Parts: sequence; C-alpha cells; structure tokens
Amino acid sequence: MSPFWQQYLPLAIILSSLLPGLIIFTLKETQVKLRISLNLFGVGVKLLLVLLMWQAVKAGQQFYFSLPFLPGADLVLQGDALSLLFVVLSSVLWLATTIYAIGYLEHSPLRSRFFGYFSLCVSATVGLALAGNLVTFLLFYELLTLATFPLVVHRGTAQSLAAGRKYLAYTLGGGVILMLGVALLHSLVQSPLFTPGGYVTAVVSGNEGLLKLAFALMIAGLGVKAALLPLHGWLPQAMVAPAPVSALLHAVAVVKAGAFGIIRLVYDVFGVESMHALQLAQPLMLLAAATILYGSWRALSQQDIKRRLAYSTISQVSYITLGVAMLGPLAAVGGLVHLVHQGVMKITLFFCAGNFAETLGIHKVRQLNGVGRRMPVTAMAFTLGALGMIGIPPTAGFISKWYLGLGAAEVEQNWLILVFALSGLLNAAYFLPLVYRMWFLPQSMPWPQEQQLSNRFETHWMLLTPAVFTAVLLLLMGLFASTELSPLSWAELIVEREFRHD
Amino acid sequence: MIDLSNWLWPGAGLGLGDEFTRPWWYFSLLLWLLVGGFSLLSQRHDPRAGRYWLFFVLCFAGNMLLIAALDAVSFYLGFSLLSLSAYGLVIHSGTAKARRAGRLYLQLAVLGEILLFCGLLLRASAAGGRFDWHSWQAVPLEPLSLTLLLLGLGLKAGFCPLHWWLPQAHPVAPAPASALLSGVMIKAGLLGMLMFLPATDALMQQWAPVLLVTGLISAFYGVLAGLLYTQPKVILAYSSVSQMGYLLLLFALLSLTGVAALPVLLAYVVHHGMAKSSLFLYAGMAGEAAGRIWRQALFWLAALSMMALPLSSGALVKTGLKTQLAAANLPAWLDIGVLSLLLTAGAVLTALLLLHLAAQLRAANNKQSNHTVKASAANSAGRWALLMALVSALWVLPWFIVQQWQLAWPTLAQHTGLIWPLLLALLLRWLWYKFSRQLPAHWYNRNAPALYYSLKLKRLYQPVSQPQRHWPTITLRPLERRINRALALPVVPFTALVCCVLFGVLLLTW
Amino acid sequence: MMVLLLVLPLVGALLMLLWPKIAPLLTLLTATICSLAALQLLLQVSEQGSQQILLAGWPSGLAISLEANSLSCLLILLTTVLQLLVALYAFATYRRDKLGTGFWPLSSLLQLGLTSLWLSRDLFNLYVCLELLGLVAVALVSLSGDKAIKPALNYLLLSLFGSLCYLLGVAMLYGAYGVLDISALALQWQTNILSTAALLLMTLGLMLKAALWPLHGWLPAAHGAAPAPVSALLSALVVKGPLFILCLLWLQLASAPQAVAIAPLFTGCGLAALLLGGVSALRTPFAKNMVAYSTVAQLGYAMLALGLLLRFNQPLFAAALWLFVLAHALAKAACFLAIGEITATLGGKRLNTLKGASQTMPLAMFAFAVAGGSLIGLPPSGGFLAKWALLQGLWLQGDQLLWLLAIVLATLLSAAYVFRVVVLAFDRADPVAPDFAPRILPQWLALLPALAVWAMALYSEPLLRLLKQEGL
Repeated sequence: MSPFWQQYLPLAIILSSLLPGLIIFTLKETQVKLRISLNLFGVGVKLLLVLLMWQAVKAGQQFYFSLPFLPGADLVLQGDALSLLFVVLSSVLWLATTIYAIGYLEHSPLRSRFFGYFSLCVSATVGLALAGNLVTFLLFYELLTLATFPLVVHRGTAQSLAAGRKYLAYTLGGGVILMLGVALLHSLVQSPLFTPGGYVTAVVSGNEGLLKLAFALMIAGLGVKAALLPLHGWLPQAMVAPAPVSALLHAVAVVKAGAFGIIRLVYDVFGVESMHALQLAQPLMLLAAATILYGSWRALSQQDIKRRLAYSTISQVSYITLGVAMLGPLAAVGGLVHLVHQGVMKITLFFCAGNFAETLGIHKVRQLNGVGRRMPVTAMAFTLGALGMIGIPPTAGFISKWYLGLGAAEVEQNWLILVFALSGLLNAAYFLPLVYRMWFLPQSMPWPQEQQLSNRFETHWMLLTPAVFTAVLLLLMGLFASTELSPLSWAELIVEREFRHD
Repeated sequence: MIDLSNWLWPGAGLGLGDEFTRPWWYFSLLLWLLVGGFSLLSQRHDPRAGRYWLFFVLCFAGNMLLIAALDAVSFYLGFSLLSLSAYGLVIHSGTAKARRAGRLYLQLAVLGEILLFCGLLLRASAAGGRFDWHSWQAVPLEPLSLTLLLLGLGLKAGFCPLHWWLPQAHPVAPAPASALLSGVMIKAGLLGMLMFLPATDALMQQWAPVLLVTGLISAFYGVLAGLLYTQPKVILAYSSVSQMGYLLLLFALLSLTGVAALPVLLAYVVHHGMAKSSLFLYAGMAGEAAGRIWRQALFWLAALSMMALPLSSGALVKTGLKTQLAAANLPAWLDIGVLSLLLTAGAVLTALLLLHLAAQLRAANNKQSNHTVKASAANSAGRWALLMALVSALWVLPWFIVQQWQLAWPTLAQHTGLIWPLLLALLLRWLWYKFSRQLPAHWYNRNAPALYYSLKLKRLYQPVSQPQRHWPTITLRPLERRINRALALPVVPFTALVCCVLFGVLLLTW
Repeated sequence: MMVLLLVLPLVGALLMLLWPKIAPLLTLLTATICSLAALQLLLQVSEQGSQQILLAGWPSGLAISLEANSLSCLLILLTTVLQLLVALYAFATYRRDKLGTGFWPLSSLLQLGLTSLWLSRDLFNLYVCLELLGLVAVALVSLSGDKAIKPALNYLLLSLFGSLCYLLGVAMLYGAYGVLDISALALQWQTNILSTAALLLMTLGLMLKAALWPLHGWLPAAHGAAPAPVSALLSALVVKGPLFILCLLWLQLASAPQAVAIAPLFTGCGLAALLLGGVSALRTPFAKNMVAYSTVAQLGYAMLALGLLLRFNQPLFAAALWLFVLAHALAKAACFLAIGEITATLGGKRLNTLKGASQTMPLAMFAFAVAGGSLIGLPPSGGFLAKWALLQGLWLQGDQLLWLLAIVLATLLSAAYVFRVVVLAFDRADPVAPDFAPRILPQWLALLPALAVWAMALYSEPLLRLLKQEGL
C-alpha cells in the first residue's frame, strides 16, 4: 500500500458514507432501486476500506490525515487501534441497520431524506471515531447531533417533535459545555494528537484546578450523549424514533459517541498518570455506578418495550464509563469490549422490538404474551440479546462483565463487584419477564395490528436477517472470545498499546 | 482432554482428567440416558413435547459440560445453562402452581448465578487471571469469596438454609424431569463445591465443622418437614433436602479427614441419584402399579435401599459415612458420640419418611385409580422396564464402586447396627398407625413462606409505577404578556429618551 | 482600484435612474465587477500592506483620504459579494414579489456608502457615509409599501437623531483640535471632559444607528417589514457600518483610561443584548422578526468582544469581533433570504407558516439550518471560529467565569430560536401547503452564503492571523 493511500484512507472511509448520503438527498422518492444500490455500494466500499485499515493497523501502522483549521489544532483524522474498534463496530452495524431500514421503511414517505441523514449520521460517527484531536472530535460530535435530529423527528408527529426538542436541548447543551472544556484545555496545552498516556501530564502541577474544571466540563458534555446520570433524560424520549434509528442511536451512534469520547478523554488526553494525580477517577466511577443502578431500576417499571430498552441502555453504557474510570488494564479491556458487545446486543434487541411492532403492532410488554409461537426466530434473537444483557454465558455480555469484574478486583474496588451483581439482578428482573411472556405464556389477546409481511417467513426477510445476524454475532463473540478476530483480542491489543507507553 | 484456550477463553478446556469426575460423568450420563428413554415414552402424548425436549437437551448439555469442564468459566457456562434451562422443565405443565414454583426457582437461580459469578471473579482475580482448577486450588480462599461460592452453589445444591425452591419446584415438574432435578442436577452444586473449595484449604478446614452441623440440621429438617406433607412428590423433594444434608456433611468431612471421604461421597452421590430418580419415576406412574406386586416391588427395592437395608447401596454409604465420621479430626465442641447418635436417629427418621411416603402413595392410588389415563400397554411396559433397569443399577453399581475404590465392605456388626433403626422406624410407624394419631389438619401441607416472599419480590421488581419527580410547571406566559404590554411604548421618543439618559448618566459618572 | 470601487456604483446608480429598464442587469454587472475589484484589492493589500490614497490630488489634510488595510478590504469584499448575491436573488424574484424599481439604484448607492465607509479614516467623511447609508436604508425599507411606512419613519427619525448626536460630537472635537483625520487627531488627543463628552455623544449616536442594545427598538420592525433582499442587506451589512466607526473611535482615538472606563458599558450592553435579544427572538411570533431579533442578539457578541478588547487589550478579542461580523453577515443574509423565500412561497409571516417546510422547501430550510448553525456557533462554521477566539481569549485571561457562563447561555438561546424554526419545519402532521410551486434558484441563492460561512472555517488560520494583526 502506497503512502498516498495511507494518508487518504481515513478520509475515504468517511466519504464512503458521506457521498452516497449527499447524493441520496437529491434522489426522488421513486428511484428506489438506485437509492438502495447507492446505499449498499457505500456500505460495501466502507467495509472494504475498513478491512484494509484493520489489517494495516494490526501490523502496527498508523494513519494520519490533516487539514489546517484552528491555530494549534488542525483537523486531524487518525486511524489507530482504538478508533478502529469503533469504526468496525459502526460499519458492520451500519450494514445491518441499512438492510433493516430498507425493509422497515418500505412504502413509507420521505425515504430519501431518511437515508440521506442516516448516511450522514454514520459518517459523523465514523469521523468521530477517526478524529485525531479534541477539536476534530468536537466537530464531529456536533455534526452527529445535527445529523441525528432529523432522524429522531422523522415521523413528524407531535410526540416525536417533542422528543426531538428534548434531544436537541440536551445534546446541544452538552455540546456547548464540551466546547467550553475543549477551549479551556486548548488554552492550557493546545490540542495535540491523542496520545496513549495523555498529554496533560506536563502541565499538571500548578494547573490542578483548571484541569479538573476542564475534565468536569468535558465529562458533562460527553455525559449527555453517554446518558450519565443527571443528563440521561433525552434517551427514553428519543425512542419514539423509527426502530432502525433507535437501534442505531442506542447501539452505535449517539450514546457510543459519548462513551467513546470518555475513553479518549481518560486514556488519550489525560492519561492514567494524570487521572491519578488529579484524583478524577473516583468521582467518575461513582457517577457511572450510580447510573448503572438507576437506569436498571427505572427500567423495571417501564411498560413500553422500547422505553424499557432505553433505560437499559442508560445502564449498560455506563459499564463502559465505569470500565474506563477504573484505570486498570483488565477493566479497560472490559470497558472497550463492552463498547462493541453492548452495541451488538442492544441493536439486536431493538431490531426485534421493531419487528414485533412492525409485524404485530406490539409496543407494550403485556402484548408480548405468546409471541414466541408466532415469531419464533425473532423471539429467539430477542432472548439471546436479553441473556447477553444479563451477562449469562456464553453470550458476549458475559465476556465484558467478566473482564469488568476482574478489573474491579484488580484495582481493589470490590464494591464495584457488588454494583455489577445488583445490576445483573436488576437486568434479569426486567428482561426475564419479557422472555417469559414470549415463550411461556399463551397468547392472551389478538395482535394489535398484524400485517402479513411475508409468505415464507414470520416477517419480512429484510427485517429478520439483520436481527438474526446480530444475534448470531453476539453468540459468536461470546463463544469465540479468544480468537484473533474477536473484539476481545482487539481490545486487549488496544489496552496493551495504551498501557505500554511507559 | 480438549484444549480450547485458543478459541474460547484463556485456559478453556474440556476433559475427564480427575479421578472422580470420570465416574461422576459416566453415572450422570447413564442416568440422563435412562431417564431420557423414559421421557421418550412418557412424553409421547404431551402437546408441548417439543419444548420439553428442547429444555431437556439444554439441561443435558449443561450438566455434561459442567462435569467435564477443566476450568471455572466452562463450569460456569454449563452451570448457568443447566440452571436456566431447568426452568423450562419446572414450569412445563403450565399450571398456576407450576408457574409460581418456577418463579421462585428462577429468582433463586438467578441470584445464585450472580453470587457465583462474584465469587468466581474474586477467585480468578486472586489466581492472577488464570481459570483452570489447578491454579485455583493452589490459591488460598478468603472468607468473602468462600461465602459467595458457598451461597451461589448451595442455592443449587438445595441443602437446608438454601433449600426454598426445592420442595416447590421438584413436585410440579413432569416425573422424569423431577427425577433428573433431584437425581443429578442438584448434584451440580455439590460438584461445584468440590471443585471450587479444595478440602485442604486452611480456611475450609476452619469452616468445615460449621458446614457439618449445617448438613446435620438439613438432614433432620428435610425429614421432619417431609412428614408434614401428603403429596408423594413433595415428600420426595423434602427427602432430597435431607439427603443433600448428608452429602454436605460428607463434604465437610472431606476437609476433616483428608480426602479419604471422597469415595464415600461419590458413592453417596451415585446411590442417592439412582434411588431418588427411581422413586420420582415411580411416583409419577404409581397409578399403574395398583394391584401389581412386582411393580410395587420396584418401589420397595428403591425405598429400602434408601433406608439402608443391609446389602443395599444405602447400607454401604451409611456405614461409610459413619466410618469417616469416626476417623474425622473433629474440634472439641463436636462430640463424636452425640454425632453418631444423631446419625442413627437420622436413619430412623429417613426410614419413617419413606414409610410415610409409601402410605401416601397408596392413599393417592386409592383416590386416583378411578380416573387414571390408560396409556398403551407397550408404552407402559417400556417405562416399567426402564425403571427396573434403574433400580437394578441402583443395587448393582455400588459393587463396582467398592471394587474400584477398595472401600471396606460393612462388617456384620455394622449391618446389625443398620437394621435396628429400620425396625425402630417400623415399630414407630405401626404404633402411630395403631393408635391412629393424627396431628391437627392445618399442620399438614402448609404453603411455604418462600412462595409468599417470592410474590412480594416479584411485585418489587415489576412495579406498575415508580415515584416520579414532578417538576412544578411554571407558566410564564402571563408575566410575559404584562412585560410586553409595559414595553409597548412609542419607539422613537422612548429610544431617544434612553439615549439622552444614558448620555447624562455616563457623563456624570465618569 | 479603490476609486473604481467607489465610482462604479455611483455611475451605475445614476445610469439606472436614467434607464430603469436595464437597472437589474446593470446592478448585476456593477456588483460583479466590484466583487472582482475587491478581490484584487484584497490580494494586493495582503501582499503589499495597507494602501492610502488622496482623492483628486489635494494635499493631505484637505483631500478626502482613503485607506485600505486588509480588514477594510475584507469588508469591502464581503459587501460586494453579498450585494451581488442579493442582487441575483432580487433578480430572480422581483417580478413575483413586486419589488419596486427603486431597489436597484438604491442598493447601488448602499454599496457606495458602505465601501466608502470602510475606506474612510476621517470623522467627517465617515459622517457623510453614515448619513448616506441611513437615508438609503430608510428608502429601501419603505419599498415594501404602506405597511412599511411607520417602521421606516421611525427608522428615519432615530437615524437622524443618531446622526445628529454623532455630528455634535464631531463638531466638538473639531472645535477643540481643528483636525478631523483620525490618525492626526489621535496624535494630539487629550483626556478631558470635552473629549469624553464628544466620544460619548458619538458613541450613543452610533449605537443607535447600529441598533445596539438598549437602542435597538427600531430594528425588528424595520427589518421585519422590509422586503427580503433588503432585510438581508440591512442586517448583514448596514448595521455593521456604525459598528466599524465605533471601533475606530475607541480603538484608535480614545486614550487608555477612557477605553477602560467605557468597557463595562459595552460588555454589559453586549450581555444584555445577547440574553434579552435571544429571548425576544425565541418568543416573537413572526418569522422575519425572529431573524431581526437574532441580529440584535448577535450584535451583542460583537459588543462583548469590543468591551473585552478595550479592557484586556488581547488581540484574540479583536479577531473574535471581526470574525463575528463576517460570520454574522453571511449567516444573516442566508437566514433572511431563506425565511423570505419560504414565507413568500408558503404565504404568511407568522412562524407557524413554516410548519412542514422541511418537506415543501427542503433547500431553503436547509439553508436556514446551516446558517443557524453558524449563529449558534457549531463547528466548523465561521460562528464557531469567532466563539472559539472569544473563549480562548477568556480562558487565557483567566477567572472570567461569568462571561463564559453568559456565552453558554447565549449559545443555548440562539440554539433554541434556531431550532424552534427547524422543529416546526419538521412538523409533518400538518404542513402548510405552498401557494405556488417552490422555485429552486432562489433557494440555492439563500444556501450559498450559508455554505460560505461554513467554508470560512477552512480558511480560519489566515483569517485569524489577518484579523489579529489588524484589529484596527
């Protein structure tokens, strides 16, 4: 591979979804085939490019592309192991979600607009993953907010508009706070590239107060998207969006952007050493633990399936934050791998919830009775996802919880194991009743709104395949955790590189 | 041995390396296959046979996996597969009672899973990130992880303070499923304890007497509670609680005698598994045995073996137990004499319970015989044949164990020692019968408080609503209107005025 | 080159009066040529440094002197390009919107006034430009017909009052020092009650004309009532003229103690403008008034930056000030054109008219949203650059948490009013049907400046360098 290619590869990865997205905006509603092929073409190209990059990064190469922007902070795209983790996740899940969305939105209005924003959203996510410094990160972070908003309000009903308003209020507020923090840090140390071990160590002495303030501001800004405790209010509302959007929002795009930002902040901006020196880890840990328990607790009483899933997301995403905040290698592996695992599991659950809603009109928990007989494959996928969320082996969720727990023991924070245990119990308490209703209770009422979407399968094949794909994926990731292809190995590679610097 | 560490997780492997996992595995396999064959016949006309087989196979896989696991994570995988799939068997009938029992079972199973998970985490961390048994057994236990593991595994094993689900769940499952639950599945907890809690560990040695006493309490409690119930399967379930108490006692003895008690433990596991399965299977089709002596004989063969009739497997394990106890290195506050006496009393009680069971089975038959569903003759015959095979295995297998482990065959004195509790029990039962004493009716068949708490718990975790903070709604609109009205001034003079005032003020304050 | 930039619009305007038929084309032509000339001038100045010429060969002191530094050139370029764009928009829509023929010569005169204002460095010349600007602006507002009479009259009266104040100040200074050229005056400047009073008078006059809070009362009505292309010009450019003079006065003329003493007024007014203007924009029920109030609010940033610059003398604030001016001009032009196009097509002036506009007029809505992004200060837009410079300045100054908090609040407010419109536009339940088929070209024209303001970010480094150096 020539150096020229190496330089432009990160840009090409972003463009591979951005350009099709922009073209899709100009298409007419009737040009369905062209739109679908464009979309799939974009996905294919992106996957190919990501594969190229994956191989190179594994071999130890780095990718770097920059444009002049602010003084002391260029727009930098950088492909390192950590960013690749997120890029691969979003590209693969983009594939699944695109197929799902094509099936889900068949015959609904304004599809061009939807898919256009959808591609923009993915581009922003990938850009965020590849961002090489804080300013670039901030840029994509804001773009993501903007690209997601039209998706949240896509239905255009009063309810979705209200949700959209709330979403904007939270995320734009978070964006501004993040900008303040980034500006503060920039005024102290400029915005160099993300470096393993952080870059603030040199200025820690004498600037403790300001650095703490910057950290707090940035965590508050990122915490909005990552749905940390007092800032989580938008997430349950935003579930009024169409199912593929919720799936993407919860699994990849928005909440993960926040979590990924926190990972970057802790490991590549502040670094373990400064985090210890500034004593920032403990508050973050407490916050994450509180969020985990609170989210699970609130999920218990939710009678709407997607709302329940939304609260579950709040809880699960904080596992990532918690893993990062523990500042130990094993915990970091757990947090990083949960970034991927949670994405795959949650997207499975949302796909399934969408299938139930689309095929049978089921939105409430109590309507689920006996679904297992009508839609066994979807119900099976849902069950796998739920078991994964609880952390039952051999699903992917077990692996991440296992490493998180080991990490907690490693850094001698045994109370966190209690948190994991409690959260596991709560997870079981709000997921198992759904599973029970699906499989063990007879159908108690006619389906609210049944549609015959397919003659051969239980629902449209485009809705079914992605759910099955991700469900199988989460099982494979859990079972074959030690293989070279698994997210776990990749997370270990990242952690090795992050912790090796000294 | 299969090494899977490059595929699954570090240290993953399957194999039957240990001297006791191999017999354990074969015994479990035998039992699963026999009961599986039985289920083929008994569930033939079951409308939900598909579901039954799904969970049956999952449980089977989980059980075999956990026995063959060479590392803790594989064990945990098998264990949770077993625990969760067994739920499907428990609530198979779908009745309200079964669902209630299933709920309790699942609540405790999940709790056990989580406790076990925490314990595993602590242990894995202490072992420096390695998961295989050998490295774990080399690391000394700490009180916290020991407690967690004991609770997590104990909830599965079902001895006394952790037995709540057992008498509820076993009776409601289909007969072969109960047979497996009591016969092999609860043993998984015990196997876990054997693996995770090495007998030679210093802390285990300290805790062993407590466990021993717990086991004794469990043994007595199971019997006494069982005597207060009249449904045969409930009685059998309580008998399991009692028998698991004996097994816990043996487990504690492992630490107190060195590992000499291990063969006895193994023999006990095999004995109880076979006997209890036979009894459960019999209880499931007792109606067909009415008036057929040789079918009832199968029951008596199994029951007598449990009562430790001389020459039976029960006799072998009971004497073994006593011998080990005598050889144990007990702390001062445990008097060996009292213990032996208690064991003998326990034997009497066990015998009483089984006699009680026989009586209740007969009573149930009398009630039921009118409306038993008649299965085809061949089906029925097949099932009885399988039961016969099981009972014969029960009587034959101990000989192999004796041979392989070179256990001492009970002496004549020990045999006689075994007989008189039996006779005493018969006497007591006869006296009871003769004077037809009955306890007040409301003492019998009481609902377990565990079910009540289970319901409470369910309401707790499935709340209809939760306290919500309601923000006070402030309507600013009237205020805004007033401000707007107040500001609706002619623009030009007002602005000019402001301009002048500003000038004046600024100049003056300069 | 400078002379060409002044003469061409003047000649154009006269020709248009003579021959109204070709006025639109002529406007386009002059605007195009002027844009090219301005670009050329900017390149020249950035290479060779600032240029100064004296008109008609008179010696310094008597002649009208013009000075082109890079900031003026940038502003000229901005003026001419926006002029061209707005002229194009007007050209595309004037038949439909029944825009009066007076628009063309007046807009050329407006360009003339602005260009000469950016170039003048003499208090009296500046007054003349200001007066020209004010009168032309009033005339432009009144193009809307009857409904615009009252706002236009108010505007006229206040504009005259402002000019009068300014003139009074100039007269006082001339009486005391005998010179009017700013650099000459600065040499003999003394800090006394007279100079202070003169400065204050001029400041208030200028604030009135620039609609800086609390003297902004005339602006929303006037800008709201004017035709869309006029509002775009007024909001984007005209209010910046007095602001420019204000900066000249305080940065080049006033002594340090005076500057420090006045700083709280500017920062305070800026803050109030940001917050109160933002709230007004959020609450007003009319679409164009919303945009007009947003101008009031955004000018608050400029004032804030000016005040901070006077107080701390930190070059970053100068950069922030002029970046705000540039970014706001582009963004506001886009906003007004977009909103104008939408309200014209959907028929109505209330915000509710915009319901469902994302469906019926996606391009114009997109233009508004993109421009709004810059108003909010989302990266990577011009507004973001300005805000970034402001934040950097504040953080470097240290202990300025109050201002930071204010900026956060102001940003959120601007986000609130921008997205109030956007959310309405996404209301698919009850969209307003257009009166006639939406036209593509005007929407694209509205989008262009919006895209330009985002493209500004790509040239941020040269821009920042240039403005930090110059900073007046």
